[in-house]
Amino acid sequence: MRLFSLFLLLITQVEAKVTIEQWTTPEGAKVLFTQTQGLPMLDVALNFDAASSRDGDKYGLAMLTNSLIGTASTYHTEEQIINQFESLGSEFSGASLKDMSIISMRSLTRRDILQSSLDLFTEVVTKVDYQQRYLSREKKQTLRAIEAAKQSPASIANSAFSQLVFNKHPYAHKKIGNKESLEKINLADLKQHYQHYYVAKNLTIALVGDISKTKAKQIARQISHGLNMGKKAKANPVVLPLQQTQAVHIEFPSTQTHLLIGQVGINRSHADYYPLYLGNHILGGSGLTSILSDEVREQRGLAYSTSSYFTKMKSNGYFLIKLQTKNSQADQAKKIALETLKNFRNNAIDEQKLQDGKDNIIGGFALETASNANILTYLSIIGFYDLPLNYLSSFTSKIKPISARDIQKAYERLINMDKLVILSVGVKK
Amino acid sequence: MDKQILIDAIKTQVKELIEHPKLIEDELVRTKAQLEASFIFEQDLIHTQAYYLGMLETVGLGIDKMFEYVDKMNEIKAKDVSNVAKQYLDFSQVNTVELITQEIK
Repeated sequence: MRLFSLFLLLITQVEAKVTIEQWTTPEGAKVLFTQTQGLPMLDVALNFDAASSRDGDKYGLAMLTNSLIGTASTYHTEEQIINQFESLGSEFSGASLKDMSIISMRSLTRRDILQSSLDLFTEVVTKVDYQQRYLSREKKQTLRAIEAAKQSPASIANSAFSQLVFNKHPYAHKKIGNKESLEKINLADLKQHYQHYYVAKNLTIALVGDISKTKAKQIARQISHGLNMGKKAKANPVVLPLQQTQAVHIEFPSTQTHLLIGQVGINRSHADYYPLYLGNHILGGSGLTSILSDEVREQRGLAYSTSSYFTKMKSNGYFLIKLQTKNSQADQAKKIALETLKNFRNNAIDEQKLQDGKDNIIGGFALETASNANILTYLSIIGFYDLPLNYLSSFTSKIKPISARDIQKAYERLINMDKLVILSVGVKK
Repeated sequence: MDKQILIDAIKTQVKELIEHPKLIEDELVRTKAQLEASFIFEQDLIHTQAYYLGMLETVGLGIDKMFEYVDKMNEIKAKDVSNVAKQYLDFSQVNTVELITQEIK
């Protein structure tokens, strides 16, 4: 019987539809909640529109502001905070991207543990005590990360690519900043950034776990109550398409050349979102079975792997084809990648490839929400990017009717072969 | 630092644990909370659940262990920890490996 009920548990987790409830707290925070059963645990993610695109000219500010949350609160030292989370078995973490600054926690739902965890979490997030010694420590670590990145051709390539595609847009610079920008950042900047952006109206709360909606409401209320109401951050300007092709080579003494080809992409509410999504899966998103992989790797042995993807940022991300190859083959690989993209843009794919791509996405879709952690990420994205609540439940039905011609037309509209960033990082040509 | 000082310090700690199990009572409460939480948290991945079921069955323990684990683990007393320390942490049987750092080229 035990065995049976366990299997039933596993099956219901995979098959279950994700039901999302949404509301706004009195202070103005947007809340998305999914109740899951089976594991006595809760995940909370606070997503603030406070990340590196809000740095202004102080590159690295958003990341530092976020990374000091959890160091000290009005009532507790860092050591006490860490000790308390550990004693509860709860996990606390933070992350800062270009759109979203995230603070999250995972706790058991047993009453005493959950309440203590939430009280501490709320205090740590809403009563941050920014102290110089922690800022100095974080700056030192960031400087080390900046130095380490200079040794990595992949990292050099990624940041140069962002710079070229985003140009003067707030997405262009690296979120960790640089040596000069970090020097200019002081404690007052962090406090100001926090005051301005870590406010209820600028927050999307995602909650996933084995709690009731009543409890979820109470938790969201508790967290948002501790914050200032503030204002929702103004939208960043939309990233504009490139004016011309930019072919750039950066010299780096590596045995492999990193090749990045791409351009300005889309956001999640783009009219061609689904054909572009399915198309990318077939072009370069599905690993070894993609068209790019077939052309570059299987047929010609030019690279171990190659891929393409969209970063779907709020104000438009980028579209990118990426590969690494032997220095001596770099030009050939570039030619093949460009030809493959051009062909994909100009000619509809065959029906078999289309069907395989759909089957793969639709068949694997249940796995996208097979864990609370995955659902939490989706809730954060749906809330933060203002997607409809049926985004997940309607996803496969949006993929099904797409034709090969729909994909071709969508790529024709988006990709301009005369306005690409073509970036290589490797030895001198 | 002389490595002997380090090794002696570890030995002293283990000896204290064996002789005075009460000393670890606070730490035991913390550790139990963490073990229970991480056991639940890691099951958020279905492949971890599958791994546990397969592993427990394969080694002959049976999948019921998965349901008993938290309760059994919570029954452990400081004295139990000190007993296993006494039985297994025998420094006459110890192997020591030292990693000597070299200058980075």
